[in-house]
Amino acid sequence: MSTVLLILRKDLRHLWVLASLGVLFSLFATLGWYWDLSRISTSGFIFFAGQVAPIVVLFVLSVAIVQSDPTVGDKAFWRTRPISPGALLVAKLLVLCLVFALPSLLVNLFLAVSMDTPFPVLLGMVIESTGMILIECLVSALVGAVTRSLMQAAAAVLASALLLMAVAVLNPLPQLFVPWRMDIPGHAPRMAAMGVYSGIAALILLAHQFLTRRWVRTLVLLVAFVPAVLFASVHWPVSIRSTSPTEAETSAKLETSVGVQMMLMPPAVTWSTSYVNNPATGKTVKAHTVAMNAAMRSIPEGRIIQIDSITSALRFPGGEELQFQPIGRAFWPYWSSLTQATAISRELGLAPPAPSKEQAKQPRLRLFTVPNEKAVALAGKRGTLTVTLKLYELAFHQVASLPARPGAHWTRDGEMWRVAKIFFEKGAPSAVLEHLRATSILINEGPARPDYRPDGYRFGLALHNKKRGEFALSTFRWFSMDLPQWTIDRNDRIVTFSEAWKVGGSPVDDPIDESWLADAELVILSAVPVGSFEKQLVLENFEIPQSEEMPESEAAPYWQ
Amino acid sequence: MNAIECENLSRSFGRVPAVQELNLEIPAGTFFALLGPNGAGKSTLLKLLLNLLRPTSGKSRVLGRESTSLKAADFRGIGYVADGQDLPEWMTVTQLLGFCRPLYPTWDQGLAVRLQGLFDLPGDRPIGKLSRGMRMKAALLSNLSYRPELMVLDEPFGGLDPLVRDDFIQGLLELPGDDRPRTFVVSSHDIDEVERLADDVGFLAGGRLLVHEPADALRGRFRTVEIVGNQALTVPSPIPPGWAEIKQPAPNVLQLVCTSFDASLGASEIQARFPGSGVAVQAMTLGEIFLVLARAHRGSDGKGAL
Repeated sequence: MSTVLLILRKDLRHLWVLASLGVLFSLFATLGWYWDLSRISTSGFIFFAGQVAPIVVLFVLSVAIVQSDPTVGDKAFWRTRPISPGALLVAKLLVLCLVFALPSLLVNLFLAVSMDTPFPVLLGMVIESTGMILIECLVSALVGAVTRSLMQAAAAVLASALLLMAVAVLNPLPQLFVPWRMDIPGHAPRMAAMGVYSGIAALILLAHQFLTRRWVRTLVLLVAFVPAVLFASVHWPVSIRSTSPTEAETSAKLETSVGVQMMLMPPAVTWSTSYVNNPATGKTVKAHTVAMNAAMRSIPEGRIIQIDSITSALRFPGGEELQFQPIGRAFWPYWSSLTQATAISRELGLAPPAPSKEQAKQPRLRLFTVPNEKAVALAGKRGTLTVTLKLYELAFHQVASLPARPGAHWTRDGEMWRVAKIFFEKGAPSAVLEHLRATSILINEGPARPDYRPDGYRFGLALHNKKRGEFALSTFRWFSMDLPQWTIDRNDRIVTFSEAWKVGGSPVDDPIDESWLADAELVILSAVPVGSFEKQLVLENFEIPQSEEMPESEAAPYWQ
Repeated sequence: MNAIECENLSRSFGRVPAVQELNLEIPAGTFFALLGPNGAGKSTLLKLLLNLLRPTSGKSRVLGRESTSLKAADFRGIGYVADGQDLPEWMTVTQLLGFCRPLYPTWDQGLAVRLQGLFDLPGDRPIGKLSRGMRMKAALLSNLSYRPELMVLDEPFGGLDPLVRDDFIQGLLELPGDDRPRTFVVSSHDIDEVERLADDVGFLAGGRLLVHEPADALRGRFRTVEIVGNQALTVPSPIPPGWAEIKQPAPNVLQLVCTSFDASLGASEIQARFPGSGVAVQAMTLGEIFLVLARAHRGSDGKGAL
């Protein structure tokens, strides 16, 4: 222990300039993210400043700290001193922790506490942010330990990157490095697990290198660890909170719309060319398809019904059964601006604006898709079609209310909304909003993740002037600047409130101006699931529709 | 007890053998001079002993422990100074000594101060800004101050001026001070400096240890011989064993190096081969012996020895 402290003291004395830069860098990197990095310049700069620069700086500083005491080669001074490799390794890691992880930990704690972050998320944030930095430090230290100079270290990293790129060209990168598809719910714990296992692997490799100084063996172990880490992270995910909040928890006051009716919607059958998955090979092939379509009816006003999954099967009298490829959340029909406006109005107790004919149009719901050749092969064969639809309802739920003026902000439960700027364009007010959310991939939020809905479908915004009895809703699809996610997930949004109504539903007489805004509040709503239910559609004596006009197939049928 | 033992020790770099099937025993308390030309494998051997390199085959023991198993604690009794060694250049001499001191229970601060004065080393200048000689002295100071049982020096005199060399040797002479045996292993191709210190001498060439014997014995069996006859002299055929570097500057003069000179017989054995001739025998320095050995090795395609 005394040797560790001796080396630690020496390093801090020797590397105080480097350490100070590291601390400043860590503070800046995290605080800059929280504050106003998005305004610095264009997105290209943000990418560099936010992602590339920290990695490069962390790498260079970590390697420099590790290599300040040469441990590689037969000329290394400390190798003939009574300093154990373990003590040297621990001391180096302590320096890296003090310089990089501790400032980041403190800043993350400060941010999380200032945003009233719930404890599990706060814990996840702290572990994730500190852990990610430590993992990079470990990897950098490993590179630093097996090389003799910064140039060699950089060359090793570049060579590795080139190797990965070459592999990626030969093999699809996502399949190689992300062995779980993004549409599988709960991928976040696996990514977290990959981080944890990568860290453990890096630590083992680093310890091996320091203790044995057999860098060839270390590299061999590294190659062996890559598939092991991928396997472990797929099969043994980690999560601090493995269950999601139940739907009842999110909003108990709403009842589920179980009275929704399903009906085949004309045209009930469509033919098209699409890409279907061949389950035999796992590859996506192009095929002409026959699709059955349906529509939902009797949805109460202001309610949003969404598809969780659709499974269809066609059973023939002889017992033969054709299972169609299930349709998941990714295929749900997004709702119209009218639906959103009525749902928001319902939550706020306001009369919704009258729908236009175009707005009232109901989106079509695809029940199943079958390749054209399969449909032809089944011509004249009748059976019972059973379609099971798992549905759930979303409702807009008021999250925050804050004055409609620049600088106003609202914080609760690890979430912050800030009004950065309000300006008028073509007579309509627009607002630049900053939305920060404390988050962690270590928190598994259950099957609701990943959420495919764009911002405009997840949040609703309203300007409400209670004094005048008028309100305005934001345009449906916002421009959203998505910055790379970190433990503080930041999204900057520009929204325009182009239309305004009086309470009761009629349009306002005068356009919104600054005096109108002075009395207004900005209401932020979030679309939350409020209940789920199941519908089954059974069609007896069903035959897959045929058409003589079906196009010729261009690809081999997928069922081969 | 032996401070160092090697058993069939070999090390190759790729296909190039640096040390080959080397067997060596150095008793504790010995000043061992490891001599050999450049590229003989001296540095490699010393690095193998201290586990800075791993052997390709064979094994070695240092202070009773196998080299490949040397632990950090074992280096409390071992000192190592090498030409070209990485030093913490940012440290001043005072900082280096301050850092090293807690690592060694046997640290002798009085000796450290005395040696620093002897070496005339400035305490406040970073090592990286010192001259080469000063850096070597700083490295030696940080080693001698804990009175190691085994001191390994790899080409310590290379490029040093005579004054620094003298300081260096004075430092080595300062080391004994208690009753523990101190073993020195000094590799060099600069023999004159170690001549006055060496108890044992090893001659390494082509990775093989060609000669290993006490320095006095080596000096005792090597002689330059000049034979002057009244008439023309003929080189005996076959050449008697132990004769090397035979030259004939004049028909009646033969010069040679006798590598198996027997002091008890004196020049009589040679005289008997050339009756009536005058034989002058002269002792050789280690440096001269080294040159003879090196030339003999080179002339025998790396296989010969004397």
